[in-house]
Amino acid sequence: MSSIGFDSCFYDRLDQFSKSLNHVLLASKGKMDFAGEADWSQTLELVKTLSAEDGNSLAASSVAACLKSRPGVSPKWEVVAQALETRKLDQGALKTLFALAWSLDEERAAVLMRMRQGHD
Amino acid sequence: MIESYIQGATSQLIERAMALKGEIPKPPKMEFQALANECRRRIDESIKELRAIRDDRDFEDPEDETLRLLEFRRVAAQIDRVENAAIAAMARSTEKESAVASLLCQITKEIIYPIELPTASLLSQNYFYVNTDFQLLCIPLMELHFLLHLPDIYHELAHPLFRAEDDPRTKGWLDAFRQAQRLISAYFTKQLVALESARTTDTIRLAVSDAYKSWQCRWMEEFFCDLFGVFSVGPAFAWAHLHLHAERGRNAFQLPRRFSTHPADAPRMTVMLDALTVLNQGKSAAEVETKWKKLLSIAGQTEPSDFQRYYPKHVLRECVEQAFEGFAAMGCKPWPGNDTDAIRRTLNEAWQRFWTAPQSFAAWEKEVTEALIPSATS
Repeated sequence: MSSIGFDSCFYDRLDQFSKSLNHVLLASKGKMDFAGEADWSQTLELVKTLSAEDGNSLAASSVAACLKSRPGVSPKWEVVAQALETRKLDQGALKTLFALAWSLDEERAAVLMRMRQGHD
Repeated sequence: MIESYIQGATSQLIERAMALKGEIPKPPKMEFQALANECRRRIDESIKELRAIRDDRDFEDPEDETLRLLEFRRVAAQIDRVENAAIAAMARSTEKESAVASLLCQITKEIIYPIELPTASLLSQNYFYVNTDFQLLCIPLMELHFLLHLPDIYHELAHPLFRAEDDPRTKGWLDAFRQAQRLISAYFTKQLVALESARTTDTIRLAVSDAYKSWQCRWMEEFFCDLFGVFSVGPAFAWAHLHLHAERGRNAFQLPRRFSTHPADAPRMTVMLDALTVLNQGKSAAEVETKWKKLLSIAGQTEPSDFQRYYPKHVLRECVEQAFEGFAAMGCKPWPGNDTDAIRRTLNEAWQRFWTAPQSFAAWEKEVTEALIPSATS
């Protein structure tokens, strides 16, 4: 069976979190108009889910599991979650969130490509 | 470089997005109204976002430029999705889509589907799937002429339920899903701890870890969609799985790989057979199981010794029970439903006739399909 069946259901979740995180990062650079309350809460939800084994949101749990498949050092998500809660992102938190934004972008692009090609 | 690129590329993309609106058929057919509105909303949102990226000149340091590029890529992909997934489905639709919409309406009435119907399209080039970002169910062009794969529509109808969080209509189903996720998490956590202290290979540890992530990310939803299918349409769903595996399936006992989107076909069948038992369809389950084993035997597919490590049968069985409770809690009507449920009864009759009279099946199927979905098959 091709992967398109699942990817077509997964893309919206990746896009949703990718959008919110980009907007939060833009807000952190002084472009507050980009980020709404929903963007902050969704990004926090994803980061909290990444910091724990599982979360309450189905969308965040699913996306977090896909990102955890990546090799490399695990960031300290608890610290980033605290920074997001206070909306004060220091350089360490920003660096981690930028890396997360690129991971989401990469996964989103990979899913799109698989959907275009219709196979793994 | 990036400033010039963003100026040129966003301006072009804005033109493309505006032109896309002109490709929405005029007037949109009734069955495409919701999709057309969603496309228009997304295009407008994308244009606004592109203008913000293009016109804000206050992107100075490298991090700003990175963000600008990330946003540009995301919005460009969004427009790509609107064009290739949604507007293409509307622009290339025929009268047959109306027939599919009518079929879906009848299917969902029979099972008391709890949320809004997806829009249907015959644009699929890749079996059945649903684009949950547009609530668009895609079916291969010729599939409505035939009955044996149609039960897979019920699987696809389950995917949108997972996008209806915070909705009382799906609460029972999603609660059951979360409970099943907890069961599988507990199982794999225990497995991983045991493997840490055991003398075993890294390959096995990695495979167990990949399986766990696949369960969390993708597999459990696929299993639940299969279960929704069996509870809705009964044995026909399990037969359709056998049919799909025979035609196109890989090894039914394929071991987990990174990023595997679907669980292996054998545990999927195990779950379906358990679900039939829950529905008191033990006789049908036995018939399916016999033929399934025969098929695997002919194909030389056998279960690897450690296969259950990735698909623990006792957890799968508990997932089936959870899913049935969730299905009932949504108020859905399980198979066999009422005598008047023409669609699901026909799909089951098709499989009975297929096995009892394979030679004459095609003629019977043609006649029945023309009566059941007349404008789609004309």
